[in-house]
Amino acid sequence: MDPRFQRALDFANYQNTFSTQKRVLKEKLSSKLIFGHSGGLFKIDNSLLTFVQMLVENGKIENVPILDKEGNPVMIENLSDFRDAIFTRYFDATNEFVSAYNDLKSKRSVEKLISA
Amino acid sequence: MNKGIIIFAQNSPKVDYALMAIVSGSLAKKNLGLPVSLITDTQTLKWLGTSGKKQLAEDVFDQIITIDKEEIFNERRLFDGDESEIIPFKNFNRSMAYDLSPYDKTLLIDSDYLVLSDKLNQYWDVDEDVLISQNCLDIYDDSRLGYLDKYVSDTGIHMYWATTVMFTKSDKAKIFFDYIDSIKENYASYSDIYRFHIKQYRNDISFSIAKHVIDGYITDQEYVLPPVLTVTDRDILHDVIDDKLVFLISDRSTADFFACSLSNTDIHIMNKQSIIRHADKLLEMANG
Repeated sequence: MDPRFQRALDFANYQNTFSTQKRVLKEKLSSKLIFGHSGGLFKIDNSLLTFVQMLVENGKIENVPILDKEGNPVMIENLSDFRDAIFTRYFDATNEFVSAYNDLKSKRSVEKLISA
Repeated sequence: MNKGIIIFAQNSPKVDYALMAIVSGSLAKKNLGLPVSLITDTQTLKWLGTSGKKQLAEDVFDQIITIDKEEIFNERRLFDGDESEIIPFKNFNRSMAYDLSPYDKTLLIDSDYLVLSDKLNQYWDVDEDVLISQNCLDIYDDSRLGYLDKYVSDTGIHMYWATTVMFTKSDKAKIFFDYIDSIKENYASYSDIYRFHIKQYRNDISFSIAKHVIDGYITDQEYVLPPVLTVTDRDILHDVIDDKLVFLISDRSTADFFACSLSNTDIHIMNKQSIIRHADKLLEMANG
C-alpha cells in the first residue's frame, strides 16, 4: 500500500476518535450548564451571567423574576445567592472542559486519546 | 415528596435484562444518590435466584416489585457489533409505571441506560408533571440517525425517547399513563392515524403520541429531559477501565470501527450483550 495512503487512513482513524471525544466533552459541558432552580430550568451562558450580575450590581436582590431557558418566569427569592450558584457552576464546568479539551488536543495517538 | 428511580426488566430467552437492570440500578443509585426499585416478572425473579444474583439485586434495589409475566413478545433484530440475531423482548408494561412506582416523583430509565453523572438531578423540581427526553444524540454524529429516529413516521409527529422519563404523581401524569395504556391496546388504529409501522410495539411511539395529544396536539418542547446520548447496537462496549467506558464505534462509511471513551456522562448502550459481557466491571465501577 502506498505509505501516504496508509498515513491518511491512520490519521482519519485518529480524527474520528478525536472528534467523538470532543463531541462527548461538549455534551458533558452542555449538561453541566443546565441549572434547575425554583421550578425552572436555566441555561448558564454569557447572557444569563451578565444579566444577573448587572441586576445584583443595581441592587435588585430579593424576589426578582427571571425568565428561564424556555421563557417562563421564575421568581428568584435571593438573586445574590442565585448569582453565586450559577457562577460557581459555570466555572466548575468550563474549567473542567478547558482542562479536558487541552488534554485531548495534546494527545497524538488513538491509545492516548481514549485514556485522556 | 419522596423521589426514586424505577427500572423495568423482563428477561427474554436471549437477553438477561435483570442483570442489566442491576448494573443500571447500581450506577443510578450511586450517581444520583436515590433509591432504585426494580419492576420485574415472576419468571425473571426466579432466574435471579437461579443465576445467584438475587442477593445482589436485593442489595441494589429499594424494592423489587413483581408483575405478571407477559405472554406476548416483541421481536427485533439486535446487533452486537457486526453480528446480529432476532431477539424477542417484552416491553408492554411501561404504561404501568405510574401505578407501580413507589415514589411521589419518579425517574423511569431503561435497563440499558447507564447513569454516570448527576445531571438528571437538575430536573426533579422542574414545574412539569411529565418530562421525557426530547431526542437521541448519537455519540458519533447525527448522520447515523434516520428520519424515524426523530419522527414517528415519514409524515408524523416528533419522536420523544422514553429511555428516560420523569413524572410526578398527579392528575395530569395519571391521565398521561392511562392514555399510553389505551394507545397500546389500540396500537393498530393509532398506526393508521400517525402512519407508523406496526411491526413491533415501541414505547417511544406511544409516549410521543400521548405527549402530543396531552400537550394539545402541538409539539411542546418547553420542558424536556436532556437528549439521550446513545451508542448504537452496531457499536461495542469494548472495555471498562476505572471510570472510563471504552467503545468501538462503527463507522458505516468504511465498515470499520474506531475507538472512543467517556466518563461521567450518562449513556444509552443499545448493544445489550456488550453491557452483559462487562457487567462485573460496571458493578465494580458502581461500588468504587
